[in-house]
Amino acid sequence: MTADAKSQIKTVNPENAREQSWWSLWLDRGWILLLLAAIVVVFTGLAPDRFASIDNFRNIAIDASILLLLALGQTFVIVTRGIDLSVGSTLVLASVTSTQVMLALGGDAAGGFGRTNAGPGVVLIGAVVALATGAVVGALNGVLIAYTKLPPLIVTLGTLGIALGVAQIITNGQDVRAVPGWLIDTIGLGELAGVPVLVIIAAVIAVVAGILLHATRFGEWTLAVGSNPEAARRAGIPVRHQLVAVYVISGLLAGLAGILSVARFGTTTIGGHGNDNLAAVSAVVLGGTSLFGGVGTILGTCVALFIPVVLANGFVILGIPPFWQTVSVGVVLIVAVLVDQIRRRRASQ
Amino acid sequence: MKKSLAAIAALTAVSALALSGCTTGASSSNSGVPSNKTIAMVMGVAGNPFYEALTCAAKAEAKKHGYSVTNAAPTTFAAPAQLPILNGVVSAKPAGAIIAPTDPQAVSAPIQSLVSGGTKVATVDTTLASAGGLTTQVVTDNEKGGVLAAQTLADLIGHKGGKVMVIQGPQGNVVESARRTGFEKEISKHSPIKYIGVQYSENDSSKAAQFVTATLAAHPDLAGIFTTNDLGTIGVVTGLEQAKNKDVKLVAFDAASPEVSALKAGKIAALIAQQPAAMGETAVQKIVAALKGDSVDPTTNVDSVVIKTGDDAAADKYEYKGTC
Repeated sequence: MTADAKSQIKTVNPENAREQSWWSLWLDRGWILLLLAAIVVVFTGLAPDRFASIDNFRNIAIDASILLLLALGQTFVIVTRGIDLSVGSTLVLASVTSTQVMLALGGDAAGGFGRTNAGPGVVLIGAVVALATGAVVGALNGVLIAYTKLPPLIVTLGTLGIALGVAQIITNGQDVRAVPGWLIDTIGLGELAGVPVLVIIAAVIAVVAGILLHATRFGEWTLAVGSNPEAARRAGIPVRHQLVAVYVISGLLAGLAGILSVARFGTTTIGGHGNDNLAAVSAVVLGGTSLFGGVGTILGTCVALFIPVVLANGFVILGIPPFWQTVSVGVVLIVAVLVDQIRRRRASQ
Repeated sequence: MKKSLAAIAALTAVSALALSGCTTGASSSNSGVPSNKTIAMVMGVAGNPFYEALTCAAKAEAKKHGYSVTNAAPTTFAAPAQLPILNGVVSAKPAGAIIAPTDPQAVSAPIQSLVSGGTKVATVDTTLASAGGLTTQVVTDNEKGGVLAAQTLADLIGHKGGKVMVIQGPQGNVVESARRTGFEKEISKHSPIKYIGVQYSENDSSKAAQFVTATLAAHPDLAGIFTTNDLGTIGVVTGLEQAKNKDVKLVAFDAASPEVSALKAGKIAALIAQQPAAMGETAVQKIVAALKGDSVDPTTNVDSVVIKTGDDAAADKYEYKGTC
């Protein structure tokens, strides 16, 4: 049993297994996987045919994919003791700038209502615009936080308003009329070998983010900056550059999420992302990343993100009143932070 | 001393209005009206297609009468967010104000201050529980809109019946709750249809899509969905596409541009559209008339209309156009 658990944890997070005993790692990250597994088992038991179907799991994965991108960026940010509240607004702004550019670049409404017949080339330009928009907001966040020493909470709260406001100024609050049909069909609704394209994109980005944080010097520095900024500076790590880079990553991923959201919904959803930032932060914290910096895993974030999504899905299937969804996610979040605190206290003893 | 006199005057004015049956706003004297040519608009939430369309129409109408319009709105549809904006308008003392109250009770204090300061106040879309002192109310019967939606959906589903659900935006939103209530009352009269309840999307399109796919997993025989606002609708259309379901009939409130596109493409069976442009114009006309001293109807009803797939002309006519 002990050996089994040990090997399981090692696959969860090989890096830190060297330094920590198996049970503290279990407390650290393993339990969230266990929790997700338990939720899935319970729902499967209660509604085997309806919950545990390929179609339903496919839908759960699609539901999680766009939010996962925001949570991945948020993981890097929170590891540096920061927070990025602007991600939802950045997503909206990126979806607005990219759709406006794609609309301006042409394509008639020939592809059906709400669609233009613009091809992959236009979509590619739109994607670049979305990423650039995200990078600009991210760079603004990063520079302000790294060079003015304003708290990340305040800076990103400010850019949250600015980005959403600019999106509303550009569009006058009206969601865009038409987007390229190719974007909707190929990316939003498309599948490769039976797997939704949105899920594939999110999975690839998650792997890249995992490698970046856990297997590169960049990741090492990011963790070091969050663990102890002063020590990191003395060790010769360019702390400010590192911070800017981390917020740019978060912005870039929000930009990518912006164009993917357009692909999925076939329009900009300007008013619909007010809660994205907190959903992303919750997932990151649930996944074992400490709000106090220096500790965090991409895998933890990926696992934790599914908890609210699976809960919502299962509750709807079982017909549990909607109010309980909110309550349950809140309870899980508080328990997760409590576990994080206990773990830290043990570590500092 | 001055302050207390003013307070007494205000109280007297308010109680006089209350005694006279709450409908005399228009016939009261014009002596206290601020002399500027400004109408202040405070809508329920910024960046909402319905309110933008209403604001645009009101601006155009006000211009015709030589008035300028200022507009402001909270970032969320909630009384605590709207209150400070209303208090700002109270300080600005405009000649007229067009307000979409986010709550029938919670925002009545600043609106009453406006009234007692002499500003002619019109409520649009939503209104206050106590209409005393208001110059006019331009209202939509949202509950009736919900009834219309239920009748339309029942017609679409037909005799074979089936399960239907509602997707509402935020919990506790008075407008959307009224639409849902109307729907629930009416749908219960159509016996082959079984109502399986409401989910709250919190205006998150992704959540709405999630509810649809999960509900279809639980109830593969789902026959219809009613969405109470445009953001939920976008998510439901996505959810149905994701589940590759073409059988569920979708009846949606509002006529925002993406909804109109989806209606034309056959992804929405019917829209229940309000008439924001007509509401904005009416509100301005009534305020201008009241400022001239004319008597004004205390209440104007602007009904919602049903637009079905195929009626593209009506869809274009009633689309919420907010670019001005």
